[in-house]
Amino acid sequence: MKALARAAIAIAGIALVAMAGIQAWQVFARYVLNDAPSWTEPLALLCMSTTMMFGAAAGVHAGKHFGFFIVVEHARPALRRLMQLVARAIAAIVGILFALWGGEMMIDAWDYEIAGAPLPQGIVFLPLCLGGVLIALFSLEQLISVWRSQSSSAS
Amino acid sequence: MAIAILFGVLILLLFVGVPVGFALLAAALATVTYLDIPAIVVVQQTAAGANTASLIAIPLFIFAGELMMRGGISERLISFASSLVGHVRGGLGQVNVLASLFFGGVSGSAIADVSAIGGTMIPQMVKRGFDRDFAVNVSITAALVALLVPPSHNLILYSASAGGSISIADLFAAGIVPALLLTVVLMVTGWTIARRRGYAVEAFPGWREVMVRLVASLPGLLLVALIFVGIRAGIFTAVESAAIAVLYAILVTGVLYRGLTREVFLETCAGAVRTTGLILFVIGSAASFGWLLAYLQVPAAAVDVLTAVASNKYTALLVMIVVLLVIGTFMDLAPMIIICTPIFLPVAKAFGIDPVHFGIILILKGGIGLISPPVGSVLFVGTAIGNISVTDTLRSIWPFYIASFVVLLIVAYVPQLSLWLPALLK
Repeated sequence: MKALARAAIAIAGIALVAMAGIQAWQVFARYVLNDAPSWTEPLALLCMSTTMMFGAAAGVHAGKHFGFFIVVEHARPALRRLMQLVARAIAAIVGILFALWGGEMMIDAWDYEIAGAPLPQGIVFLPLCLGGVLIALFSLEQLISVWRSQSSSAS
Repeated sequence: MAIAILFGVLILLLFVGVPVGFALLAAALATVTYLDIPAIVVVQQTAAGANTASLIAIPLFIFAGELMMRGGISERLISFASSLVGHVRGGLGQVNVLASLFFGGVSGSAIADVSAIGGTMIPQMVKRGFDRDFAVNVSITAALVALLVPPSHNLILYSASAGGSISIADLFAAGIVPALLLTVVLMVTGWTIARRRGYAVEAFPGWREVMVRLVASLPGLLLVALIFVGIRAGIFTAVESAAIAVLYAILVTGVLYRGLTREVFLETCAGAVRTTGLILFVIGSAASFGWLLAYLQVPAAAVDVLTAVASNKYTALLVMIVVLLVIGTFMDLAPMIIICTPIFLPVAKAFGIDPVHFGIILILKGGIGLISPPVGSVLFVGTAIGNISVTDTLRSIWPFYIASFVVLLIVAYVPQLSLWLPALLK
């Protein structure tokens, strides 16, 4: 899972650098070549959703998402574990739904072309689908980890 | 009932420890299920929320800030600030505040600011005889300045949360005077405490040295001017200026300062990705939540409630500040902006409060939340750097809290402070 998280950060990082490069090209083309390309915006948006979903998945693995954790930290051990299980289960469910519905939307829109770029419309939903898979995997890994620690402390 | 489900599930899940992005999505899913709306709409709205062109500026400005932070610009800005105000009572404390104003303009992020400036200044201050609590208190409150000066990504987030109808150029201009006011007030507060505690001052290095250090830090300061003038004059869009900021940061830190090695660049990308992934995910998640707020006419209901409670715009402002302060104490800044803007901006508009002015109030107030427990990310970063407990920090932070609140109230009740510069530059 660590390797998968590193891969997620690498993909999100490449998308971030590509986003900067695409926008820089947009400025160069507009002011120097006097010919603003139409493909830059949809491609930069695709890069942004890739950064969002893969970065968010890496955030799940690292346990770095924004949240309000003071109640969990001050709860009794049994209740704290229950809350941790619920939190990870919900993240896993959300990940699974993103993977399924993201995939469904990707298939539905695949035959159409993005306005301004020679790419299938469905590719816009690919990061949602793949990011959802990663979020589900990382959340399930943490869910199992919390569950095991619960079982071992009970025995 | 649907509104109760939406907010009830959200609050319950937040208390259970579900991260904000997932809690927003789960609350939206529960509500659409209750309303018998196809649940796939939640994912569609999230995709649409993340598909907004103006948001591209946020990851790029964060990336540029990380490059500047790790590539050597912060040290030069501190050195310049030190030559300017190091000899004033409070010495390095004053340097800390002024450096935050300079670096805030480069990073636009309070966390980046406290990491970069606080990471350098707190250990130096402790070494030179300043108490740890003072060093941390000065650093974390000074970091609030970063939220108000260009290129604050929080201001872009506010504009996007308002549906993109508020000019980013106006917001950037509007934050400058309040940021300067906060800088002055914090410097006076630091001066007063330093005098009482008898802290030492630095020797004035002379104007020649000031000029040398100014030249060294000029590329960093020029970036702020480039962004501000570029957007204000309509030469670049916010997104284009963010891309230019990234390229400029790579050039300055890589070629001029030679601080950007391959390893540093990779670390910078990873750091930027971690931050942007989390922020963008909350933005996307909040899109479905925001869509439901509009569908259930929550903003209109909020206007009705506040019109019944408050008789004029001054009391309405006070009520909103108190409510937002409470929310900001429990929620990080980015989620707070995304969730509260669609609810409170219509209220502000109904009472005749300018949206640009309201944005500055919202960000400043949210910033105070960042240095307040229990969810004060800047407070936690500062105390971790200063190697001091949160309790010890809070014991002596109150003069800085009071100073920040006073600035908040002045900014809230004197709209000209925020609106004068945007009007002048139009």
